[in-house]
Amino acid sequence: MTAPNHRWRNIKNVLMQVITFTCAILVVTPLILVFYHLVQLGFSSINLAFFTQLPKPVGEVGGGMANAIVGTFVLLTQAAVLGVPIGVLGGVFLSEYGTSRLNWWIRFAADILNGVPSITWGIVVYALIVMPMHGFSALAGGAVLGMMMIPLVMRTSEEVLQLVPGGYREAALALGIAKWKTIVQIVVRTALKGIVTGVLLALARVAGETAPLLFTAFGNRFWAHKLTEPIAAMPLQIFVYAISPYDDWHRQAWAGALVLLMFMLVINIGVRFLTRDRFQKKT
Amino acid sequence: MNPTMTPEEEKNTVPVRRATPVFPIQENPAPATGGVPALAVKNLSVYFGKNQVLKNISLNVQSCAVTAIIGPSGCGKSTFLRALNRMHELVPEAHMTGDIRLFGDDIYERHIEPVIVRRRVGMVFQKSNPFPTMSIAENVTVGLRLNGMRDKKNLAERTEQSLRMGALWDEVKDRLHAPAISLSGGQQQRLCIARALAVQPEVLLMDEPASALDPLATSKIE
Repeated sequence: MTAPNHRWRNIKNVLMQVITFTCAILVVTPLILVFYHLVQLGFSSINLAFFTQLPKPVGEVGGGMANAIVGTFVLLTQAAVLGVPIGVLGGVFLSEYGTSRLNWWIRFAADILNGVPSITWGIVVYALIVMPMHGFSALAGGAVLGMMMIPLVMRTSEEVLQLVPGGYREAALALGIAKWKTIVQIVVRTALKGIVTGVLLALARVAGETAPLLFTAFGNRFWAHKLTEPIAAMPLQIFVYAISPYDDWHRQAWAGALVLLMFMLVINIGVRFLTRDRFQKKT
Repeated sequence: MNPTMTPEEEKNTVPVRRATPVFPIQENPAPATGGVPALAVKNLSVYFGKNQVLKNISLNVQSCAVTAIIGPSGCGKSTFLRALNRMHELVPEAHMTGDIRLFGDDIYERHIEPVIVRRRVGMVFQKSNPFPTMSIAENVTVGLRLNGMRDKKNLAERTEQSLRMGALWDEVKDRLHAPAISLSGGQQQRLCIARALAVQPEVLLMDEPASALDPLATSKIE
């Protein structure tokens, strides 16, 4: 039974398995390291004050990041208001209307935009919004995050809409349902979970952006009362605290990083939960 | 072909099975019921790009009759059917020449929207395709609801009537709000037939609706 080259083949087989398994472990290791490190250094600084109080002046121990946490949510809300409708409707156009030639160019542009470094987005929005308004503002921060979301949301929306089998479109049209109603009520509804997933992942992606906010939202050690004022954001606050020379600020930076990571984790678990589908697509 | 339909219902449906337009077409043997034919096809040619798929087909389909079209795979049966409710227009490079009249009305007349044509000429597809986000009842009434019918009592009546015609009512009457894709393959196809009947089309095109089903499910549909 055992041919002479059979043993060598088995060895190669095992070898490949070991190599790929090692690589798979290497992928997971950083997450475990980051998480372990953040919990070790940040967990002790997380308390009620961290979520409810403003930053204390230098020298005073304690205080929190309440304004940065709220600021991040304010910025993300603005980003979603700008990025989600444009992104989703753009994706609908690509998937349901456009001609293949036009689509090629739009996809090409979107893919380039997805690769634009975030600091470049910051400078562009600085020139477009901050300079004409003569000041940093929450509006500019929301705008830059929203603009970054558009191509992300558009491409994922397009992809999940394309996954909807053509048979559903044909069935709806054959019932004499108008095209736009078919798209809204049948196609988008069938792909809704995928679209929501794409939106959440895009939000998670921009939630951690720091560089574009340096030029736009700028950060704020107090509450921002208007959208035209500079506003705090978690990544900005972490950045400022981490490069400061004060131990107490360092501790807060670790805690902030941990909270931000937990936030991503919650979003990702939410996405898994949403896409678990109970009775969808048995095709 | 469909023993579950009353003669009255049958009057409004012409299930057409299998089209073979490249072969000589015979006039439908069913006796004319007087007046204009349900569908009058004259010199129909369909092209995909430069490729002519259907060549000069003329055929009258009588109302209150079942017309079956038979032919080998790939001969253009589906293309022929899809020209009858302008579904071929979904393929960008497809175009047609000739004249098709539905009870005397030119369905390709310039100001006629395909949506209007498709409300009068329903279609059931080879592969069953109930909408996965909707329940059984919602699937049946979707064509009515999205065309503006709101009255709940009316919709419920139509649901029962259509499901009875599709020979599905007795199996699903207790779980109308269950997801449509919880049904078996044969039941899904009968649901699709009920969905097409619910909008009360004047002609119903059926593109091999039983080809993917076992003989038992097929006999139920027929």
